[in-house]
Amino acid sequence: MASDDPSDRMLLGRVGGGDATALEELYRRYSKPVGAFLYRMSWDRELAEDCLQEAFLRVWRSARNFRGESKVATWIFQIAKNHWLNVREKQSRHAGKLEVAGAARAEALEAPTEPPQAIESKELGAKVRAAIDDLDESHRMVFVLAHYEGMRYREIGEVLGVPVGTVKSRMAASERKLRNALAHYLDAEVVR
Amino acid sequence: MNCTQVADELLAARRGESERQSEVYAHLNDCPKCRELADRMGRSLALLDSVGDFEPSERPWDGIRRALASEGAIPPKRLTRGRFDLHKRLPSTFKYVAAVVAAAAAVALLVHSRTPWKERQVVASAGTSGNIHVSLASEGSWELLPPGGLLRSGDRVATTRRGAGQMRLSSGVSVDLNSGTVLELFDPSYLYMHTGEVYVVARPGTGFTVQTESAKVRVTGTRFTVLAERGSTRVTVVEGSVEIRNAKGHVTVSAGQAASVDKGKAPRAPVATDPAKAIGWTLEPEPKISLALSGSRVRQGSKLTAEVTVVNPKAEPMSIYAPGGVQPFYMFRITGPRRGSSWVQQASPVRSASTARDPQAATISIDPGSRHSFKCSLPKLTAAPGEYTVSAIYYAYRAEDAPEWLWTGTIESSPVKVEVTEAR
Repeated sequence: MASDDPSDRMLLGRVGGGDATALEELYRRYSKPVGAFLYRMSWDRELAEDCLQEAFLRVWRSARNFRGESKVATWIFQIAKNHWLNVREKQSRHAGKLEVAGAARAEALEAPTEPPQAIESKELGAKVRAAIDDLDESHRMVFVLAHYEGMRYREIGEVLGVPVGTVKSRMAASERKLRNALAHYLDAEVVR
Repeated sequence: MNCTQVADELLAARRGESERQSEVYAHLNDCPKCRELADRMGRSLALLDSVGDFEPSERPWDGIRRALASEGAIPPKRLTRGRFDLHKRLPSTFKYVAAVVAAAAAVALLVHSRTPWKERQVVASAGTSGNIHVSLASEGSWELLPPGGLLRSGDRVATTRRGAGQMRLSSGVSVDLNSGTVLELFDPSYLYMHTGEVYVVARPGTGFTVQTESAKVRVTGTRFTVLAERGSTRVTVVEGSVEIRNAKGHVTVSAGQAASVDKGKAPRAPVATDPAKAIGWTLEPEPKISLALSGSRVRQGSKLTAEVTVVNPKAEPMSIYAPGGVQPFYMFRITGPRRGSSWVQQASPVRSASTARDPQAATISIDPGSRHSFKCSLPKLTAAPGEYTVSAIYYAYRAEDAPEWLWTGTIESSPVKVEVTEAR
């Protein structure tokens, strides 16, 4: 993950003072990774964008409460994670088990506009997503932050509020489970 | 450390987060089983890289701005609306130009953006002829990739029903795509082909796998084609041999043979075939290159003259296209008795005008059946006496910021030996 840019703290200080251009700069720096994290948790672009918007509004409203104990980026991820957990809890309360895998698969299967030939329905990308989907929420969060966002275990521990050892074991278990799920594609060891 | 402990610690070690880093690697050095596990883990992580790229639209920021405006933090501003409907009102030529510009911009952004966040690995570049379209596995839209454009792990690559394309992988393997091909790239030695036909050229010693719905085709340095359609796969081998394997069995196909396999069935026994027919569609024939040196013995510290001859074996003019910002070169690889290889660079003497689409581009053209020779001098061989080998490489280029593997030639002559004797 990015080193703690001192200008991040300056920007957050300005956000706390009500400077919207500083929020815009923070958004420019972190909307992509935070959005990608939310997308990989939800596999739903619209929902990920809604959560991203809400997370940055919370950054705006609570910038004064930042105590400087972690990196600014870690703090923003914490806010996004907490908001995601709230959204998810609400959804599952109302709609039973959240059905996100279906949306992900439908999206992966969208026909390309050009070139016109149909993609085989057995889309590999969809299988990879389905494998990630099958991880427990807590494991998936660790895996997404570590593998896709490139965060260190220690930082993930800060975002999720769990010890480093827990992060490490969740990560190893997730990787093993995903590797087993994708075994079909991995039998292609290179002959050397 | 034993194998179980290594298995537990391997992922952290790969990430540089293990406290027993050096012990893990020491064990890997000695244990082929754990090395296999590490290899499999790398493959699995590369597969996982292929999904979930996300670029937020303008919508969240518009929402934030609206909320901020309603709080009085910023003056209300007219939000851009209906922007995405614009293209519906434009004639199709504009759409095409806009698409090309957008594709070029997207590629430029891909190459030059320096985000601190993890990027997908660059595994290939688009070839110098033909047209390939690229799409992220997670996206629905396709873009035409300019020659030399970079392809990343997880990219889906396709050709149109009438077009063909070419790409070069960072493993040095080149792949021609016949029309109507769709495949996914995962790492430099593995691709998954949904449908279509590919012609693969892998240099000796380079392992490569093509996976289709019905079988897995593994090679170590060879030339072959794979045709996949409706659950059936046909493999024709031009040079070397390949192994076709699936859950039901495996066969080895040698040069001049072809074999097919249907989904869920064992591969059929190979039959003799004319491989020339199977590669009739491929894009650029390989130019042949030969090298002659002014002598086979030189005294230490003296120069050598090299004569390079390039032959176009095909019936049409052959042009090699170098995209803008990229320079074509001849290279010489000189391997000595003690050090590794050293390289000598020679600017290409054959260079024609740029193209309309890319004014920076350069093209090397060679008429059908013609041979082109030029002479140049190699530097003084001042290193230790002994046996050296020299080879010429036809086309090499380096784009600024391009990954190091692009800095290699595509066609290399057979090595020529030269003996360097002691200076008097």
